[in-house]
Amino acid sequence: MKKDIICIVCPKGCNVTVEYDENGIITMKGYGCNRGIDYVKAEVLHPVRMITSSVKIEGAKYALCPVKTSKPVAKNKMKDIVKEISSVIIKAPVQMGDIIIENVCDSGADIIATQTLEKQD
Amino acid sequence: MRNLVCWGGTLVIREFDLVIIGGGPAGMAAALEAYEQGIRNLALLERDDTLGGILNQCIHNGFGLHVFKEELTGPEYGLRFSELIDKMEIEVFLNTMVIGAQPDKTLYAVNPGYGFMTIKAKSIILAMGCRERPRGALRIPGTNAAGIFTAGTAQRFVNMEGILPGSKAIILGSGDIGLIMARRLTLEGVEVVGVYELMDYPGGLTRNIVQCLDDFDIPLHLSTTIVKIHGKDRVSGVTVAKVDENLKPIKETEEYVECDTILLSVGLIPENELSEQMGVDMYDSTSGALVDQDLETNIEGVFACGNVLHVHDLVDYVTLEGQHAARSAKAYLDGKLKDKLDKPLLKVKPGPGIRYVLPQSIYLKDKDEKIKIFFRSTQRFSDALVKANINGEVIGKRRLIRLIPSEMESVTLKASDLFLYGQEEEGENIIYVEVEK
Amino acid sequence: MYYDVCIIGGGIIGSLVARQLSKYDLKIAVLEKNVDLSMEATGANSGIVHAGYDAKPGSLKAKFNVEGSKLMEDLCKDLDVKFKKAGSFVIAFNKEEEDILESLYQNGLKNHVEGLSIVDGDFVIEKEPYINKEVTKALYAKNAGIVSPYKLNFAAMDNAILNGITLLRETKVVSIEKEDDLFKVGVEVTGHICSKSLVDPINEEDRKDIRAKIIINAAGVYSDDISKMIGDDSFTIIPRRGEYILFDKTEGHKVTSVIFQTPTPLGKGVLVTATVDGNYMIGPDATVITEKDDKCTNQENLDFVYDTAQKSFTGLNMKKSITVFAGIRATPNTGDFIIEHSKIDKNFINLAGIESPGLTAAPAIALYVEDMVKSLVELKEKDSYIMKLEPKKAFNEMTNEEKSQVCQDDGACRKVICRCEIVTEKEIVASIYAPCGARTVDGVKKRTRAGMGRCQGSFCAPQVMRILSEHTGIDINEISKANEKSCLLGRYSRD
Repeated sequence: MKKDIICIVCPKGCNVTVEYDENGIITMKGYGCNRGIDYVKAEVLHPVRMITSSVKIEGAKYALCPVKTSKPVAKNKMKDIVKEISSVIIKAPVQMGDIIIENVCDSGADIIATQTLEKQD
Repeated sequence: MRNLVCWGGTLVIREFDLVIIGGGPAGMAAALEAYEQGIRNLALLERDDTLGGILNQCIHNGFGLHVFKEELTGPEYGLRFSELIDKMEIEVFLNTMVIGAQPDKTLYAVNPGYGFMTIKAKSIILAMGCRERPRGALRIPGTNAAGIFTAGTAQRFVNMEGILPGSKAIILGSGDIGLIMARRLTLEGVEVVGVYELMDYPGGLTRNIVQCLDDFDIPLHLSTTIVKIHGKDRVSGVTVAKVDENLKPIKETEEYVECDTILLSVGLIPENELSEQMGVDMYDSTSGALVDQDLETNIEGVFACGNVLHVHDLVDYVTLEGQHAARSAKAYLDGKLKDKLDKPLLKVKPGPGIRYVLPQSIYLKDKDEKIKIFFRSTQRFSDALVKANINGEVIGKRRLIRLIPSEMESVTLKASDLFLYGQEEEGENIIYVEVEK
Repeated sequence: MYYDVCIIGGGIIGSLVARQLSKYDLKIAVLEKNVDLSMEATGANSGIVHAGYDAKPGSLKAKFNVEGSKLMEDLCKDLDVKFKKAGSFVIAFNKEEEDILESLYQNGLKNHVEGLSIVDGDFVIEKEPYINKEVTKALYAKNAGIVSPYKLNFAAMDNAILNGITLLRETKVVSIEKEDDLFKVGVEVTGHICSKSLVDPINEEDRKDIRAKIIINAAGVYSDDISKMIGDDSFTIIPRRGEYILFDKTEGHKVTSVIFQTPTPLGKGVLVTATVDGNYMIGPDATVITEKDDKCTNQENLDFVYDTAQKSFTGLNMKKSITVFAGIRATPNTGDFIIEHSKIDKNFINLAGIESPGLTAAPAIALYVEDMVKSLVELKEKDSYIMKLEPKKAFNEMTNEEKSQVCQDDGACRKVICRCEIVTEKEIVASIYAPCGARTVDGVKKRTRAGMGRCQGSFCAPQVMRILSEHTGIDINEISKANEKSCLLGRYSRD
């Protein structure tokens, strides 16, 4: 399989072309440094993403509380994780850092609150 | 209420040494630094019911890489400051809208507790941020149907109220706000048909192109703009067209795109209504105030920082600027800026390839001073050599692999290099920052 | 429900007629197809109170223009609507145009217009420094004025409702039949915002089986369609669209009066006018359209407006435009206003083809219609009625002392919702509870100016919607911009 990737590690934005199969990288062309190699390798074989979204919250001044994954998760789990987050309802008060979902979708990351919201009357 | 004084029929609530208008990232950073510097008689005025400004609705990450060496989401970044402000017991006036400002630094504000307030300030830091350019400013022809939003307003509805702007959206403008919203809408179940960008290159970070568009197969159409909006009561679609090298639409390329929602991410404009009321001199190229290296405007004791001064890409620089303004305010209150007018003044101007510079003037006070000049380019450059020169002599330079208008950069000058120019009678004595071809 | 008089159309004509007739012991209903007033021509025009030199002597346009212009200032005072005697100039750049000015002047004298004079270019330049300095002469009408047409519309209707008339919004007339000496008016409900509203919901009985003794057709661009319903096809309305560009208040100092270009055989040119709120605008063009509700603005026409305005005005800074809009004129094929009892049925009064100078003519037309109705039924004045509204100052226009006082008295004044125009929560809530109250975002906007400033509502829209939702009981994601189908938002994301 072949893929064109723009490296985002530094502003140079090298255009890297990668050939790979289920065993790993075969060839890589166009990279500018070692950090680039690492990024492209990860991006092709095990791409990860930080996910930021929100959960429904009851009793706060906003309808939603923003959340994020505690660390980057496998990109292919993104859809399921977002779905999982969308189904959660929490109750105010919530503190930034509170764990909303532990080990979401078995990704190794928790979903944590990124905002502090008090209970409203 | 402390120190109530009746004055001409209008209740004067307080006199402050420093008043900061705006409790977003710029204002909060200024407030904390001002406190750190020893200013205690200070007030932070914020129109929303919470501190944080726009950070509260920017639930994505990418904030704080420079200031905290961590990647935080907007709300988290804001909490780092607002929690400290709470702890320090800095006086904050929430739900407070400043509705008038005078050249003598008197402010008029409306507050739920106090009602109409007259505030006398010895010094003021302007940190009001900016507003979004609306459809009317672009004069996009077509109907006046519902469904046209500026990206920030849509973001507020989606992230705070939990209400989607529509079901099928197109986004005009590929700056970071537009890209972030493309992803956000998609994750929330809105079909994002495409992002349309007037220029022939994207306006936002490559990282956002990858993680907001490529990840979701959302097409980016460069050199394209909306030429008409359709729909009787609600948007039903747009006509888009490719543009030529003069950015004029090419009629033969017109195409209809069905959608019920349009997000406009077409520019931020510093909100300087109050500054202009006070008589602050403005700089056309930034739509912000003209300032010197202290971030002081033409009105003594009035400083500006953050998006109200010039639109930033990274909140980290907003924080640094807010802190800088606070230190200057402290120096002003201590009488250290009094002899500014006696010192030689050099103007700073944009040369070829540069759209604007900040500050726009430097006064020579201290030979050891290092002065950072921020700038934005007029177009894309790869491998650019940016030079600062005065009367033909190069006094600073910066080589950049990539220089694009949407990424603000800087070049640092040494005051010691500038001193001999201040005294010279001959020559223009203007510092030009330009891109060497 | 039976009514003595049914007025079809709640625009400036319909509302001023309603107000005039509300003095009398008559059961009156105004049927308005939109959810609010001023959503047609009344809400999208130049707001100019013309002096009257333009209209053909002996025409109805001339008669009602001149009379109306004399009545407008006092009417605005009574209804607490801002009016400015801004004066107008028709400017000429050469001998040919100067000759046309002279004939306009003579025309004006024939129409008994007061306050007209031909002035030198220098006079104009002194009053309007941003005018093209090549101006040689101008026709100066010092009594010409500017007003907010929609504010006047709402005020007239508020007045009429306070006197007891029934306003039926979202009520579109689809058929009219004569049955036993009464008109049977068939209506279609075009939306449910007014019936769902917790504030003054429509009483469905009021629009059931409507029968009326007298019908007054003030349906604007649709007045020929209404007239045809009783078989009167003596006129046709040709819809002609005009597009405008509005500029920021910070530019407003550049024009303080109304500046017209000399009409030549090639066209009328475009005008540059101050608005009564401190903005200025340029326009309109004139394009005949086929669909009566085609309110789209178009690039070619906006370009035409911009290019043509530059002939008279040097101050154009396109970076400072805040919006563009279009209005549709109801141009009569007869060339003059149609103000008459229908030849088919004298109890059916046509007020049609009220294009420019319609706004100016409106107060005079209302008085004339009063006489027309007098000829049909005996008019007995009510024991008590009002023709004046309580003066109210906008927060933005108060002195600091006044602001301080209202803030002390009323907590709702202490929250400013619209930053650009400084509009308080109290004013927004008041606009909802007015006799002819706001039910939509545009309705709040036109009554309070919230959303009309330079950010065009990007900051205050969420708050305005929240306030509307709170008071009308309509779910925030069902709040409309204009009519019911123009819902602003989509679904809740977490349902």
